[in-house]
Amino acid sequence: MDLTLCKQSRIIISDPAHWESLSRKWRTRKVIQQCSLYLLLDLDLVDSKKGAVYEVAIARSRFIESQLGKVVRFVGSGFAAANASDVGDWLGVSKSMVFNFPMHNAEEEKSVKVVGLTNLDPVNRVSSLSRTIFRQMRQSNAKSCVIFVPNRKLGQLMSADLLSLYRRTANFNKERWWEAYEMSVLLQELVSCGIGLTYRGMPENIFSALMTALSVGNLSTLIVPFELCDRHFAAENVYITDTLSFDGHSQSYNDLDNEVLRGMSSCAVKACTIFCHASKQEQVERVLFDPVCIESKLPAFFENNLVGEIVNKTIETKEEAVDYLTWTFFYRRLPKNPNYYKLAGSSMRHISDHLSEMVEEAVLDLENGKMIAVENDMELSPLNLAMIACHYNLDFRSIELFSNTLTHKTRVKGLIDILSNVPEFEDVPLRVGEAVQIADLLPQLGLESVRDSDLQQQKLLVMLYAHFSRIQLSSELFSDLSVFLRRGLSFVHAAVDVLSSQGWLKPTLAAMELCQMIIQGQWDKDSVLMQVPHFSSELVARCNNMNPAVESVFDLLDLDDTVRNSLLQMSSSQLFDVAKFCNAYPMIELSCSCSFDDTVMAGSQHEIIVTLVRDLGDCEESQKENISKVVSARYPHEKFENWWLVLGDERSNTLLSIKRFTLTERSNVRVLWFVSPWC
Amino acid sequence: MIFIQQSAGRLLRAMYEICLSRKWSALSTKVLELGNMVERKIWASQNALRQFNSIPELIVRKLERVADISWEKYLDLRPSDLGEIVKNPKMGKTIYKFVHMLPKFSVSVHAVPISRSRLQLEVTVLPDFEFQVEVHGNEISCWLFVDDCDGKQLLCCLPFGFRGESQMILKCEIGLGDPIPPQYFVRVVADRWLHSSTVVPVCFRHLILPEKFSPPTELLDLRPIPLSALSEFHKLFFAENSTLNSVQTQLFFHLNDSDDSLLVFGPSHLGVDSCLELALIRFLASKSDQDRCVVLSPSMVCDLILVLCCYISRVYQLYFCIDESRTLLPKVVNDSKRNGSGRSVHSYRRQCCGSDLV
Repeated sequence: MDLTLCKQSRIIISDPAHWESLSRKWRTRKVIQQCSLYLLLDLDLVDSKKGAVYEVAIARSRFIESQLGKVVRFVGSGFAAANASDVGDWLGVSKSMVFNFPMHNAEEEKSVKVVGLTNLDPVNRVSSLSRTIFRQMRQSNAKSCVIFVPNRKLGQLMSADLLSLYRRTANFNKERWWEAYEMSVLLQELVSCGIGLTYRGMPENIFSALMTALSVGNLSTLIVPFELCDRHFAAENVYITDTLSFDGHSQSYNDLDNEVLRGMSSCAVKACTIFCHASKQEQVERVLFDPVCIESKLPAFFENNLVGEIVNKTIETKEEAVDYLTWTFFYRRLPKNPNYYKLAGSSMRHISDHLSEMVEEAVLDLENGKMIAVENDMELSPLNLAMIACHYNLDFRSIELFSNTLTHKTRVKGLIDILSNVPEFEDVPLRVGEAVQIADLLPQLGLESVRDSDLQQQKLLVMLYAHFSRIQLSSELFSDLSVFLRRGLSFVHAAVDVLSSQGWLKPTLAAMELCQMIIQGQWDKDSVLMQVPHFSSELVARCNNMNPAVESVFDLLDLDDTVRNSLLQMSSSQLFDVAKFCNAYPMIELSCSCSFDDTVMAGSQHEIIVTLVRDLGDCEESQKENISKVVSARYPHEKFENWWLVLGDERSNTLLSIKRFTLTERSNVRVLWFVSPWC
Repeated sequence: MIFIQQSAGRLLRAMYEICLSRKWSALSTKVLELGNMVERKIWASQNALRQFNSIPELIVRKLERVADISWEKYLDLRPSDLGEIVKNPKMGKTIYKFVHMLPKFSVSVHAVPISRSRLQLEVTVLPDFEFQVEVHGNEISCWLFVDDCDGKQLLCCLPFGFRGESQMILKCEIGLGDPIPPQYFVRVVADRWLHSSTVVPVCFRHLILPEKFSPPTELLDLRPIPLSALSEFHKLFFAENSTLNSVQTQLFFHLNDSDDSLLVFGPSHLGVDSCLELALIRFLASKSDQDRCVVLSPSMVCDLILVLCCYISRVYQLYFCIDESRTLLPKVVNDSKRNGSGRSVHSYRRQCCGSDLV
């Protein structure tokens, strides 16, 4: 999908993670070899949490350049960096072409001020600020302000305080533009006074309306929680109320990342004021006014990188792995700041020892995780698990978890449990007060609260259960859920692959069922009719009570129009949704033929030819693309159909053959190969 | 008396805050101790166990009579030894329990240089006592201090709360003098408990500082290149009657007339990202269709993407005239025609970010 888009365009804009996974197969993909200009934005973000992926992506393009012997132009930009020349060395940019402008003329255009406060309690500190901010806004006479607050709750407090202050002084009534949107009463009141309040999971149209209002001048103040700071705001004045954010995993307050702080302050056009605890003042000033020193974050990511390269045969021996490392920024920084990378010295010997040690450790880890096989203590070759991890672009630890915890007895509940334990979801945020919220939801969902269990895992579990049971979540939890659902699906697909490679039939089928459950947002035991939009459990009960009972979508389709309408009792737009769903509901006839006779030798290979005929109705050629699009009211992302063809023996719980494919043609012929079992 | 006691406590706290803000290390320690003495109503020289209300007065007095044992030694004593000291073997276990409930942390420090003049300290704090909510409350507020080698100046003070975690990792950045001092001291103190401080030296003997940074480039005071001086193709991409910004002007020659790789770093308000536009324009003007350009942006909130979309909307029709294959993102183009100018920028963004890859 992404690849076809790449083929069509001359300019490819991507985030590093995507490009990294796309460019892994550069040897076979012409598109990637054709790239002759790399524009690299925000190079300073190589030194951030997700910077390792960026580094790998760039290092690979350097590697490709050297392998193909083709001239590639790199043009990069970033925040003022103290060690810009190192980045230049890494990208092969000549010294005279590295421009590194100093910070000191930053004050000319806008004033950035850091205010240290003595109040120790972070919540108190922020909530006591509203009056100060209000006064400053008055004095500066700014047309638009953005106030960053640590979380939604503090935002609400801040907005309430500001509202009372505004009411006393100003009348901000313009034409009532906000009536076009479905806003809550509280928000309407705020907006009428010129204050906007945003939060995670806000309806997108309201959010963009608030943004537009701010830029046009219909709003004077916008209150934004930290977690939304990656959206692009622009205002004359920016107030950052704190430099700490609550981290639910450790239940403590941690410093904001430097790039987040810089990003927030760069939203300001005229002035930016940052409030923090007095002990942090110096540090914050340094983050904002001093050039950064870019360091590599590669070591933590190296194992995953190695898996990818081994699967794609770029690295086949340990030596090549060490050689590969020399293309990274990490290698450039090692001799420059050895202590940072836990090196005792900066001589060549130290470095080469360190590199080979790093490779040895990574290889050992991967070998223990049954990801790769090592032959003759030198040659590296990928195993099945590594290929699965690489194909779905997952952390190898997740796949390791799958292969360790999945058994031939695993069913849907067990799979959900395993899914909620996946290490990659560690970055799903845990906000203030969410622990209580989750604990409240537990009994409702029939889950037991385990005392010392991981909060993170419990949150994921609760979100998934709520998704299946169709329970309304708070907007923040819902937005987390939708991120989780998008990424979670590839984990389930990977689980299917892991299970099927073990040859366990029932767990494989359970994993496929879980996939369907995630997309349709219902339990496997719920009625099929729950998939139809606007269907509630009462309506399903009514359908079942009909004579003859309506139990499947096809039954519903076969009903007489008048009977159906009286049964559903829906408005015309709802009926339209139902019709859209029913028309897209796949109807497939399956027939198969075997190429062999009645006598079959056990243990020999055979093929079965499966013919699938899909009833496409009277759809036109132009709609072909939409055929495989899944209609689901519960899944918040676009999803295309995938089909599995499974051949197995239910009695012995063995899976003989599996094939994954898409069905867009009227008739499809698939060939299944299998080895006949020993009886 | 009560008035004095309360006020004294507050005044000492205030003095403590002043000491912290003035970075006086030794005095702040003394004032904190004095403040705690007032609050707890005991002398610092008295037995530390007096801070627990539930321990009998008689026992503490007995302990104090054995004056030759310093507080640190108590931690090494076994219950039977303690019972012997107070001549009451039954109390041994109780005293032992209280001795090991006084907040005390074991601290280890890992120093990482981030530049020649800055160090990052990774301080691992392990509790060396038994945490009980009934005794200590939900949270013990603590301080992490870094003192310089003479113990005079406070280099860093970091408040943190301890809630019974098995391990805490704190990070702080401190300045490093030149020449490198032999050592610094890291101190962890519970805010409201006497005798709770732990001091660890951080030795810099094996520290290797990173290499010196090369000096920054000077921003030349050039006259901005006006749009009229550029080629027709360039004019498609810029607003009418605009000029290039100062960075673009300084780098124009390198970006536009050569194919060398180039890096530009600088504060965000200088508009360093805009240099990439020039490179992109050169690419569009000169390269054949077989070449592709990749724009990588970790934040995906870059102005370049916005700018690119705006360009496309502006040169929409011209693009079709020039070359059919040079149309980019036709979907976005159509959208921009429909929406007004103010709104469209946001809708571009959503499309760019939503699909991750355009």
